[in-house]
Amino acid sequence: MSSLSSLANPVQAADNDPQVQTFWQLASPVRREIAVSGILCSLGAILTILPVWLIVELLDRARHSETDGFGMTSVGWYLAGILGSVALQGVLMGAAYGISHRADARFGEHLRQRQIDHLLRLPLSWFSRTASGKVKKYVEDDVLDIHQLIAHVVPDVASGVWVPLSSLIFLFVLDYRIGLIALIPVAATVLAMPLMMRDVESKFVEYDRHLKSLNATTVELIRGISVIKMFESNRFGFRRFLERSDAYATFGLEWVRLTVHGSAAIGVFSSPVFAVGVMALGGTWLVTNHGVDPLHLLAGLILSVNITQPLLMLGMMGQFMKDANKAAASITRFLAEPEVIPPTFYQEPSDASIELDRVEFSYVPEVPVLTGLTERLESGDFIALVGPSGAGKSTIAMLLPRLLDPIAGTVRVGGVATTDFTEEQLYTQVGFVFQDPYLLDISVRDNIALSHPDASMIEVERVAKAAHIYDRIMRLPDGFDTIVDEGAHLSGGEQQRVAIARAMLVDAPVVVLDEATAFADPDSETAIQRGLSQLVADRTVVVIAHRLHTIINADQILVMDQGRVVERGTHNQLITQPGLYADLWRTYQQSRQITMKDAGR
Amino acid sequence: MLRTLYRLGDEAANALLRRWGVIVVVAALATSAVLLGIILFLDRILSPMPADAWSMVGIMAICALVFAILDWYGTVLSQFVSEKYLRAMHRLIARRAIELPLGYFSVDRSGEIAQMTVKGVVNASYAPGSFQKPLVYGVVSPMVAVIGAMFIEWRTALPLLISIPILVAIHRYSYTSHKEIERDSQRHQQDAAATILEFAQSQPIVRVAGPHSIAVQHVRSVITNQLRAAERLLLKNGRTLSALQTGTLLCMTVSLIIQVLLFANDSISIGILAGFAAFTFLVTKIALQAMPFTQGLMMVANTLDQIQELLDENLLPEPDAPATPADASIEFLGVDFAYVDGAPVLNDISFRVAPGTTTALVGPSGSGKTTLARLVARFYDVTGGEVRIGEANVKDLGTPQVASLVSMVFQDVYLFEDTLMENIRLGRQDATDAEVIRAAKIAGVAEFAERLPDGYQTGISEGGKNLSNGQRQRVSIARALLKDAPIVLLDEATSALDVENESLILSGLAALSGERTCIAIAHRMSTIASADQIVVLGTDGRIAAIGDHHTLLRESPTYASYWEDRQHGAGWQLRDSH
Repeated sequence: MSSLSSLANPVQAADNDPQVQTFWQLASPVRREIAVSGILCSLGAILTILPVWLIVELLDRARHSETDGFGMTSVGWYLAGILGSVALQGVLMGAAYGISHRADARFGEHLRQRQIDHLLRLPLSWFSRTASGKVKKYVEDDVLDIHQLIAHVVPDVASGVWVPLSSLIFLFVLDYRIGLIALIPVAATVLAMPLMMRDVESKFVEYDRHLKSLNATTVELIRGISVIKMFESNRFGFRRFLERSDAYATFGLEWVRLTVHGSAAIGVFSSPVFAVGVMALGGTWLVTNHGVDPLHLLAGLILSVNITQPLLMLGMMGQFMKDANKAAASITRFLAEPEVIPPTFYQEPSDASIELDRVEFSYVPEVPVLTGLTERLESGDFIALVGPSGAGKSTIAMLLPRLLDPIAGTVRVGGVATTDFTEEQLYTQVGFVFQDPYLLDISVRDNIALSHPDASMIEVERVAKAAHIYDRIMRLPDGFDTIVDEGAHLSGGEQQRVAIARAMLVDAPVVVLDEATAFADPDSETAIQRGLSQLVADRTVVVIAHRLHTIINADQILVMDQGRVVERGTHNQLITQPGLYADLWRTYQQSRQITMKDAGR
Repeated sequence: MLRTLYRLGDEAANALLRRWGVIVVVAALATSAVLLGIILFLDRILSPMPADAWSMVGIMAICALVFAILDWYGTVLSQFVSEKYLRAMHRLIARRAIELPLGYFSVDRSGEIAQMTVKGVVNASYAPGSFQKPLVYGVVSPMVAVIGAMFIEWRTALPLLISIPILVAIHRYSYTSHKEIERDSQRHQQDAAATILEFAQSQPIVRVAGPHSIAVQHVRSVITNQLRAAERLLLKNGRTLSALQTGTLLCMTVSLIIQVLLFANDSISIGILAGFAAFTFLVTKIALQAMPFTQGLMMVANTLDQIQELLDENLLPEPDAPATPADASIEFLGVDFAYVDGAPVLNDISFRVAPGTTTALVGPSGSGKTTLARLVARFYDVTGGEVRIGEANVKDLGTPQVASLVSMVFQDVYLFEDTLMENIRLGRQDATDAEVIRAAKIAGVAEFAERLPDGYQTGISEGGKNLSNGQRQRVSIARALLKDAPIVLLDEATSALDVENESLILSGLAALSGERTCIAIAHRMSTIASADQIVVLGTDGRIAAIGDHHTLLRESPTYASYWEDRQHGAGWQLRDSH
């Protein structure tokens, strides 16, 4: 059917042209709330002028009280005005922050769940290309970068703009000369800015590099600590860590030397003391020489501190905004990774047979792993894949549950191409026991019932018993409710049995075992084997095995080498003819004979 | 915060911090003087003789100049303070990591410690300049100014003075549960990070488990919870700040009202009213601007607490004069051990490993085989009894000497980001290239090293991810061969390897155990059968049986049935053919 085309043209998420979005575009679902919050905050900011204006007016009336008669009633009105404007300002600001916080919560949730949806539809190959730390960065760090922005930066920017702006306008309206003096600290700060920002772009890049390398070497120090201690090797880890720490500190000092006088100057120019000092000096000159009203100077003194510092904060918000846009770009690029979406049209498989039809596969272009593989595996058969590492055994195994898709050709289960299976069918048709048991840090019960959240306790106990892990689970501190890794230190073999129980619960007609006994310790091995024998009865079983004695009863052994099936037959047929299998069998037999002490002599 | 920082710093850093502290406080006092000057200045400029104000302007300008010089110098100095503390804290953390017993690291703490060491320490080291200074300016300057204002006109200054304890009380109250909420949010964040990492790393099983699996539900709910916790913190921060701001603004308004009423009563002049009104607005503004910095300081305090916790972890006692081992024997004398009180892992373990012999440890999973091996290497100290090497208690030998006597070849092999050559040379730092290559040949490293693009000079990626499990194990054997310690502890988990790897590793291990004293967590039947002594551990953490293979087969039913199981297992087939 459409299996080939769906692979060749995976559905593009969101945009066809993976154009990066800015923070503002990404935040479109909550734009209205952001706007409302910004407006409320702006109104609150403008209100900060009102008490100052009222005081100036009150003093002005009081000055002339001897002539006009300045009564207690009008004093009361002024005071009520001051109190009212302060209270209103509080209410507006509170409402603005409330709205932005709620918007922020909704946005963060929306974005994250969208990312999880996306992760589940990315081809598995994307994960092998992408370090898991990167995935964490997309879902965690990038979202956090954006997220605080909505809650805080929007209202902060609104008041950061309107407090200085309305203060300046008010002063200019009172007396443009006072307004001009209030601009002096701003001008001085702006002039000092280039000093602080010297080489800022390249230095930030370098700074980032230093932080990353410091982080890497810390991880190395901690993860390699047992090696470092057992070999008394301080050269690695300890010294290397201190070298990087030193490099970071030295870089920091260099940067500081370049910019410290710039930032010191800005610190002084933006301080309230500087603003007040300039206003007092200039204002006194204006009052004594140019007849400016001293009450306008009073307003100038009060409002002069409202101007430079908020503007400087605004500059710092610019950095937040830059980070947020970087994070937004990173998130949109991530969301634009092509998804693989299984079809919704249901086709009933006829049996549990497997067909590989001219299957080609490669992880890296031009390094083929499978080249035109065509094989048919009968329903209910026990099939073993053997061969040297890199022969393509695991690749075939991964093709069956569609963990990988072939580049060309078709994989069919029960006559239906795996690419035509619905999402639901995929995991009910093919069960998989990996070499890595993949136990998650959730309860043992949830680990077993992983794919069937609604499974009853009776079913879970049944498969645990069948996988020979029930008794061990009952010995755990909280039985089936024990959280793996916290309360339960299960050995490799025990974990493997939990994984087998998990596969039994799925009860799929096809089961793939990829080196499932690999991590067995001696005590577990027998139990795992019993568990596996239960699992594989009456199904189509595909086994990858290095321990050849476990598969000598296979109905078919497919011997693989360099992406091809080079031999096929039963154990007895294969060992009697010269070839790869006979060689493998011989080496295997020999290695089982060696004892540790013998080998050295 | 500064007190904790001071405790973590060295003498040079602390001396610089003291100097910086004095400068900042004096600069804050200069600010107070300028603020007080405003009252007197406005009083004069509103008088019939405004030119009288010039003398006051002069005084204010001088104070402002003093402030400017000190603040400038303080900014420069704070950069050096930061640099000194950064180095001091990094040294402390690194040294502590080396000193802590290996048992502390048996869970992976690299993420947590890296977060603390990089982001945490960087923020903490910049805290004096970026958080502490604005706070000193925002708190000390207004407070001192208000107290000073009492001397100008106490009646108008009094409402401001009363505001101080009220605001301090609001501050205290608002931040009571702040620390817990922040830690809770941090915990959720770490939890979510770990879950997402796990989710990414477990994709194969996540896919195989289908779209509605518990794995998917789990990651979604963890993320939602983390977001809720982050929201709680944001909200708490927002509420605290607005409570403080509203409180401050109300205090300001009340003070203004009282001042105006005093004037309306003809108690004060219009000049004093104007001066105090401006003064009230300004001290309020200065205090308000400093408030957000408290939260930065709280964050830093949390980091510093974490560093302190790391420093407070218990170390193993080390002897002043280390004892000298008589030979390469190992002895357990009535050893008890528990990771957690009340959950014993090993009970009354006694046995001796003669020099040059091999002892195989067998027993069900969870019976304490790995723990027992780790006790020889002094990952932990025993709860009761003694572990001895060459007749001397490992506690008297001291951890460094124990480390030099013991080689460990375990499953989790860590490789550093360096060349293959250097990774092997780690076994003995003064080994020549020729010696490294000889060890590499015996351990089977040579077999793959020659196929690498740059041979032994090929770079290894962090953790050794560009090598296979089997290859990493061979490197660890080469290291141990090079180290040439008289005692070898090994975990013989070779079953995950393909045939080629397995035989190479076995011969490497054989060469390694050679004439050395060896304790092996044995997985292969041939190793067990050929060991000089077999210690069978039971699920209760006691020795179930001890002896050589033939004796045990005869005398120990536990061992006999175990052996029979294994033999049955060796002949086991996945399914009978049809």
